[in-house]
Amino acid sequence: MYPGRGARDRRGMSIHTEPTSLSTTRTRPGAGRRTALAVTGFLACALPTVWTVNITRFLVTGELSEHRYHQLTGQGLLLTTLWLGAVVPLLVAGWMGRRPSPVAGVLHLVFVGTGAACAAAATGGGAPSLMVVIALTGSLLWLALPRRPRLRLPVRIDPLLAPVALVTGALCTPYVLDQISLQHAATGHHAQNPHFFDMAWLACILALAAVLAALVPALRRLGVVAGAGFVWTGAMGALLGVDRGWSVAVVVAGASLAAISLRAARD
Amino acid sequence: MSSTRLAVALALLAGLASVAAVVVVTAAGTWDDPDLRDLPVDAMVGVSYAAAAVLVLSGTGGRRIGWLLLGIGLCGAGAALSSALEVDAVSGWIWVGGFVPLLTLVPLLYPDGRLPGPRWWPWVVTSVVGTVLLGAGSAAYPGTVAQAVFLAGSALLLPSCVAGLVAVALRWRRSRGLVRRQVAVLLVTATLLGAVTLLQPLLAWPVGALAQAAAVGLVPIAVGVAVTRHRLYDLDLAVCRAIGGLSLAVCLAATYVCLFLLLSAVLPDVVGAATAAAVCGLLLHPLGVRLNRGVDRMFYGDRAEPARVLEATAAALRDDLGEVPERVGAVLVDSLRLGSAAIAVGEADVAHATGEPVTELPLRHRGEVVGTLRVTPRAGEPAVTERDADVLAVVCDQVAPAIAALRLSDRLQQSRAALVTAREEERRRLRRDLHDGVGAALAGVRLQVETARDLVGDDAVAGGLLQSAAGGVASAVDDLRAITDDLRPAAIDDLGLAAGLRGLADRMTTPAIAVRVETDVAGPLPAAVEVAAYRIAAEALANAVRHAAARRICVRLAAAPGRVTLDVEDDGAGMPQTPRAGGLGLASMRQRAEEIGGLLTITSAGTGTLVHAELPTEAR
Repeated sequence: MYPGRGARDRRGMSIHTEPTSLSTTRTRPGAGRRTALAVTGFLACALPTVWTVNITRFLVTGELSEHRYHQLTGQGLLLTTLWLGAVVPLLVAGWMGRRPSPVAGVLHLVFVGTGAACAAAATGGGAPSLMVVIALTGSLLWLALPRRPRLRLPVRIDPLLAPVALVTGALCTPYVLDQISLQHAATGHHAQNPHFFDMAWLACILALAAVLAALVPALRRLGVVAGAGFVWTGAMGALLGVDRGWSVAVVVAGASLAAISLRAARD
Repeated sequence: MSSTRLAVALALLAGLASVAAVVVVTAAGTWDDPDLRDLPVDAMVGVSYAAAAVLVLSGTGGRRIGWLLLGIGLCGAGAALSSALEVDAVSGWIWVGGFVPLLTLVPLLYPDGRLPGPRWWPWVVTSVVGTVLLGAGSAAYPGTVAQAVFLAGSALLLPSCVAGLVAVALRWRRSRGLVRRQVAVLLVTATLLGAVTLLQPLLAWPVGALAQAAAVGLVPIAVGVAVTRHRLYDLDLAVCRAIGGLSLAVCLAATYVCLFLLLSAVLPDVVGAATAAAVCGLLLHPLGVRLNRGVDRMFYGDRAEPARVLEATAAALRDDLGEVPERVGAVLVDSLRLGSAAIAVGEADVAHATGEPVTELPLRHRGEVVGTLRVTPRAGEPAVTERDADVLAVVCDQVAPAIAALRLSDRLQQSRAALVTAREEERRRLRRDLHDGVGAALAGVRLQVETARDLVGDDAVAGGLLQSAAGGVASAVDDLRAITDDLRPAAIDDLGLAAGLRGLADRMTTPAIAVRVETDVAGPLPAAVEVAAYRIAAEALANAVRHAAARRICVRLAAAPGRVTLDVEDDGAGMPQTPRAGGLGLASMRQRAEEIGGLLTITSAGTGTLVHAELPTEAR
């Protein structure tokens, strides 16, 4: 009986030897490939790393403290976490000769795709130029990968995650439109430094990641990432007094999203 | 009067009192009296709790819950009637009995009338004492003493309410299947009641009172249904459909909002709304189908997609034939969320959890039943459903040829083991006969011939002939000994298996190599098992000394029910990753174990090797 089955005797001999030789299908990338990965990886990681270091310095020293919310979220730590969270797993998998996980691949595509869409909608503050740099370095990294992530994935909608993800998306849509219109109307510092574009971009990444997690079983873990991102964004907003109603709603939606995604990922 | 009749009479009394209260207030036209605002709720408590109590008490279980519900119903009815008749001496305190136990005693005793554990009795006492004090304080109100008693009662009831919540939460965590459904029913209705109560300040009278009365009425109905388990098994279907519908509605609404907002940002509102609606319309059917499939999968696994189940089953059939029953069982449990699944090969039986309904499906191959698939339903289901059975029947057709092959392999192995056992028994008998019969006779003849040769004296011819005859007999005795030694190891028959193993160890022992033998086998073993154990031990010892350069070797022979186990463990260099070319030792040991239906396992590391053999002592 399974579980607690009635065992049948297995006849014959089995030999277990320890330590066993590691059987693997990985092929170690050649020196040329690794050099290409190192160069493209450096290019892809340089910007978010510098960005993270600067933002952390701002947070520690209190510089531009009126922008603390953006430093902690859309123009700061959360955005760079998502950025590096997509690029680094691709790079590590490529270096080891493994196929990168679809989660990392899709997160990177979502990151670049939503950024490009938001840059097209809010062209001020150098956002399109930034997106060209990000897309270019990202493309070079993908070209250098020995094996690319599997992107043709079977679709199986999770009936609990889908409504929560879409409701979260609906919650984010007016926020994104609002941030884009604010970016259009921005003058002075905000016109040069596109905080509102970044916030719209962040919300789009998280919302799209949540919807994809609801659609594709292999990407359910993206829902946990998106949920955690929403919780962080909402919690920071609530703590720093930024649009408290929306922030609390985002915390609730993010927590639900993370919890349901975790359950779905375990299944 | 039986207790059930008494309960029915009291329930009727509560119902009549509640109805009478409503009639009195309606006739007097005093519904707008602020003191009567809660009368609909009290009347509902009187009717619904009494009805639920009768339902519970008419069944076999949950009698304590039944009487508790009846008590609450009587108090609620009393509160309604006394309020309607303006008997303040009663209405001032009786409401306590119609309200407080719902928060304390019901969650403690729900759903079977038993506490979660023996340590929970103090909370029952606390609840009862707190309720009595609260009622007494309310009856004597106002006054300092009454206030103190009221506060004391409240102070006792507050932790009792928390204990009730903890009890429900514990039952939820510990329970599975039906009990979890029972707890879920209470939680859903209690949550609804809590939400309606919270909304009271926002609702105008009488909407608020009626809504609360309706929510209050749902709780005892749900409790009654859950405790009596009436149609509780059908709850999954209703929940399934509700989740599917709700999920679809929320998805469409959210999609519409997203699209409308996005499109309205660049297009006129009307165009945005129309486009969003059109997209939602297009999504309605495919999304509905996929969401319902997802809900179905959540509850029933891949039942709606038999191709997936078959694909997983096919994967389970690919590897070692001997493990097919276990792997297929695991696949079925995983993909159909069944309680358990097991395959019995041939007439064999498999263990299953007692008390669970078992469904058996025959595995047929070429018209013969080659095995049985035994499954238990999902947690909380009374039996395997027809849809599950349909899928399982297809799986049975797919698995049956593999099980037939496994059965054939089993039979082949059994007959091989029987042949070997018979051969070894025959060899033992033959050796004994040759040794004790022909051997002894030849020895006697030889002795006589040698004696005759000595008696012949000077007759050289006769002496020569007798000398030749004695030599021939001696040669025949040597040949006979060689034959008997080839039939079986001499040490086993002469000394027994344990002593034979010690003899082997003694031959291997040197100042640099210590060999220890531990035996725990009493009584004779089948001849084939003795020979197999002896030969495997000899080979393993030789390997340890020759190839592994072992310093310490331990040979253990132990008896277990239906088998003996032999372990030869050494501290040598272990086996090479690639077996030596031309080496027959491992194959020989394997063959020795296999041919009597045994199992041989070799575990090797850099710090030594363990050869473990399990040899059956009973015919299978």
